[in-house]
Amino acid sequence: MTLLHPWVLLLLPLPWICSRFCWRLAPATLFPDPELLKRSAGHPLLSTRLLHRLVYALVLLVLADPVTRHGVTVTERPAYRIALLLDDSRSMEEDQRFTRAKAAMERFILARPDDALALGIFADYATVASPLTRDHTGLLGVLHRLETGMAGGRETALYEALWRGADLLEDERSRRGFVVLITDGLDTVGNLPLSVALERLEKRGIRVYAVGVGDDYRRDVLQRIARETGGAFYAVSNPEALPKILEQIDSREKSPLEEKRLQRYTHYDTWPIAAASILTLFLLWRSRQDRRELLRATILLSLLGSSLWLVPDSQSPPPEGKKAPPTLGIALDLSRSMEAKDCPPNRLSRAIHDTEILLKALPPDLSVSLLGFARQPYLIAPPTRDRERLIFLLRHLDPSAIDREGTAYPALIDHLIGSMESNRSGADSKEAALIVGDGGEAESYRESERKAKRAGLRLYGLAMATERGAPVPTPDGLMKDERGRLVLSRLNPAFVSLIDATGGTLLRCPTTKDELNSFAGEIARYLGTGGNEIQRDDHTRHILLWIAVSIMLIPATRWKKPSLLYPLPATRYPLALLFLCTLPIYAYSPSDSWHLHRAESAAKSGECNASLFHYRQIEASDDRILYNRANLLYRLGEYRKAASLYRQIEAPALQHARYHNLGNCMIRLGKPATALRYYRAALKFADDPDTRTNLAIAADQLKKIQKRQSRKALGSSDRRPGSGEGISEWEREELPDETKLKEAESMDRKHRANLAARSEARRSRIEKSATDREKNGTAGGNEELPSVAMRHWRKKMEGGRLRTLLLPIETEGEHDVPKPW
Amino acid sequence: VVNLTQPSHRLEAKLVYACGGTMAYGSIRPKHETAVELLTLLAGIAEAAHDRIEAMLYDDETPRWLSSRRSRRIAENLYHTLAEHDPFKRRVTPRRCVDSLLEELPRRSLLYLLGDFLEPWDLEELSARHEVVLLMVRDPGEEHPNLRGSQRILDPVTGQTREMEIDPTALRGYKTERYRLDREFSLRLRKWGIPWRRIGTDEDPVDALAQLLRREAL
Repeated sequence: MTLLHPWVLLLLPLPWICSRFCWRLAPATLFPDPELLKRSAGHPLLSTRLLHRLVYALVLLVLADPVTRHGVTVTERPAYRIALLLDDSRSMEEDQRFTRAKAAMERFILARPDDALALGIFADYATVASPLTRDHTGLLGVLHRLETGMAGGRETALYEALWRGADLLEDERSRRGFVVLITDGLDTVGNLPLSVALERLEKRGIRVYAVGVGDDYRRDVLQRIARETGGAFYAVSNPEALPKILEQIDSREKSPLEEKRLQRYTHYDTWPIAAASILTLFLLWRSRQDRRELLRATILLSLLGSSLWLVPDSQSPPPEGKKAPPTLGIALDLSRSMEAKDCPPNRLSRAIHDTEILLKALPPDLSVSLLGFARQPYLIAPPTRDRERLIFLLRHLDPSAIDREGTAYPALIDHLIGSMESNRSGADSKEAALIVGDGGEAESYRESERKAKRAGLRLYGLAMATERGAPVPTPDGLMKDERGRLVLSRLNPAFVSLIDATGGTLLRCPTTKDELNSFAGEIARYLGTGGNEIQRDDHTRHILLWIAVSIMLIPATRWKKPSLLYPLPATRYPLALLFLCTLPIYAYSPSDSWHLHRAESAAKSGECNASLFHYRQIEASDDRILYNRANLLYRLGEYRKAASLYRQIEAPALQHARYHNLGNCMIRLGKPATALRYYRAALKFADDPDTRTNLAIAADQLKKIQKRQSRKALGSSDRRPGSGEGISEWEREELPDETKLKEAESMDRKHRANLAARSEARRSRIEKSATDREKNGTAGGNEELPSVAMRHWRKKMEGGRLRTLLLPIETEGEHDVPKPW
Repeated sequence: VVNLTQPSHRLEAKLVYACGGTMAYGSIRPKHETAVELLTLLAGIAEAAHDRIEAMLYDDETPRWLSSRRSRRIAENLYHTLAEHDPFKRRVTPRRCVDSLLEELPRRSLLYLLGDFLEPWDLEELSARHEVVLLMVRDPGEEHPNLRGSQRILDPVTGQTREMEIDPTALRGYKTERYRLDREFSLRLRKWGIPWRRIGTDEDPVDALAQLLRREAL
């Protein structure tokens, strides 16, 4: 057992020092018979003074943090992100291909419980059925509701589907994302060249497992997709074999278990603090006749308790079972009345716009599901954190295909309650939903109110209507009633009371972004997300304890009255002050945080060696620390060591800087060819002008080396080496020695061979794409696919004719609770 | 004073004030203040009755007689002298005080003895030679001290401070001991036939003195 902060024990004589030297700070108490008082004191071992000193010592022991260290090996399997793309054309109905593919996908989804999956379908166009989600129940619900012809049905937008598949996933250069494509045909839409889609997939490092069903697909195209993205192609003549194929893909893409060695501490601070509490209780019992003492002891014990038990212990094992993250259901009214224009330009457009702002303002760790409702509720997206995809779905929302007459608020609330109950993470978890709409036409929602209250569901409302109301446009003019009178749609007061009754807040037709942001903040606060939780570690816990002890040392009563913990009237203030003064030392005591602080401040003041020393003391390994260490080594001129550290960095956010700095190291090490490769890799992550400049410098250096090399080759035949004739002095110094030259030569040869191989590959690709274009009769997509062209395709894909899927949610009756997703 | 208490004898009245450092203490007001009031009152009464009276301010270092036998306005002089006197850091040793009185007062006198008598005095010999009346000036704070925890206690006799831990046990012990000492002393006083009265700093000295003199007159 060791003490993490043994120096704290140096504070043990502090009370004695205070009692010895701080007497003059306070007046003494006159008493006529001190001798008799002294004679009357009890046993010295049980004296209050001794017991108080003991409590003080125990508290110091807690602050010194007695621990034992254990090395722990943790195994974990990194999660994958998978996009499932399913051909939705009518041809998939043949041999029940679509149904079997759905069944195979279901098994696949169930086999990967730890991974995030997304679902896309394609026919006349490619669309998102579900953004990336970990809610597999919701995803299966979407999958079950899929039918052929939902995205058209006559064509097969295969290449567009690949484009959208790349969109569904994130940056997958960590090799943790892939696409499973199931199709039975060839691309018949031709709105996008295959090379463009492949370039996009390649850039994002996404592998495609192409599964061709039946006989009508183009084998060479699917093979090429699989080959160029690093995936695999599977031909399935009988759709019954689809589950086996997906099982193969599943087994192929299982990540190995990763072992991590961690240093874990077992803290023993509970024992001394328990002893201190017992002693305090004993002192309390002894002074039970004094109410002030009682009050002080209560304050003391509550401070100790709050320091130890209320502040979570970071070393304590996590609670058993995963707690589901909070989920917010957003329901969008799609009924005809949402065409009214009292919230300009009209209610629906405004609702979509405001929901977009809300989605952006909500904390990123909050999962959001999206629903639409008119006569019946529709599922737009199961719970997901992929805000970009949700916004994409909102923007392509087209309610014209559904029955928009009437609004099914009771059915919607039943569905919300059902889905929330299935997602509920615990008895004390908070559930909320946001309804964006005009409130419908019903006179009362009392039954729904009652149900929501009983289920503990809080409803928030974003009212997209005014009390004054507005006429509702229809294709035949403005909406009129049976008598031919103009119908005015107003904000339904029953909706307002429904929101109020559940404890939520109603925001009426917001005009500013700030209103929506604060509304999102309110929802997030209720759900307990959005970074309100402070991550405290043991150090913070002890700092709080430190402050608690300091407060305890200061008595709550008058000057002449003593305190309980350390009742020295003359010394308590200086003691408390001195104790508190040591807090900064404790806060920055030689822990990781202290070393980090010292390392950063030393780096700022240019003391690289000192900074490096402190970085090396930090036990926790973090990419940013590695990066900083590498930077310091670079500044110290140790380029090889710096490069080896840069190579260990895996954090995606640091990849550009990592490759850029690796390039710099290589330049310094006289390896411009390698530096060129690193700079090009860096440019893939970010288009940085500095990287471009360095790239040009590296290219220049490489040329110079080549030139010198050729000059030397000439010189070796004409002149004696090292004569310096014809070469200036500084140039001679720059000339690399024989071994370096040999290295440069071999590097150059490799580089040239690489260049030749890549240009050959590019040429063959261009030729193939040209063949594809000719065969498909499409235009567009040049051989280099520069960023301008990519932007063009991106714009084209964003403005495509796709529609968001509105998957109807079955309700058996107004009061029946539908099955959760 | 003399006629009221001993009408058959024409004794000289002597006021002896044992003014140690402990008389400087008082949680309500200093015991010294109460003692000064009592002495002035007694002197005033004697002066009004044309009785012969003398006052002695006693401490171990400088015991002194404050008034001559023939002096007029004795009460006023006594008051001014005592009010200016600071009892702090003065010590009264009971034995020395008694010996001094026995030596200085050869004739039988009526002796009014004032002090706090925190430690018991041996007055057997003195009561045999003189008519002694004892006025015990006390403060509630010294019988029931309101002290807790670690305290820096100032000793009024020596003027030194000392750090002391006053826990409830110590307080209980002190109270018991104080009660025992006072009880023993009162029993001895009864045995010696010395009339006495405890006068607190929270009491009115006039009332207390009137009660005492009335009781003694009866």
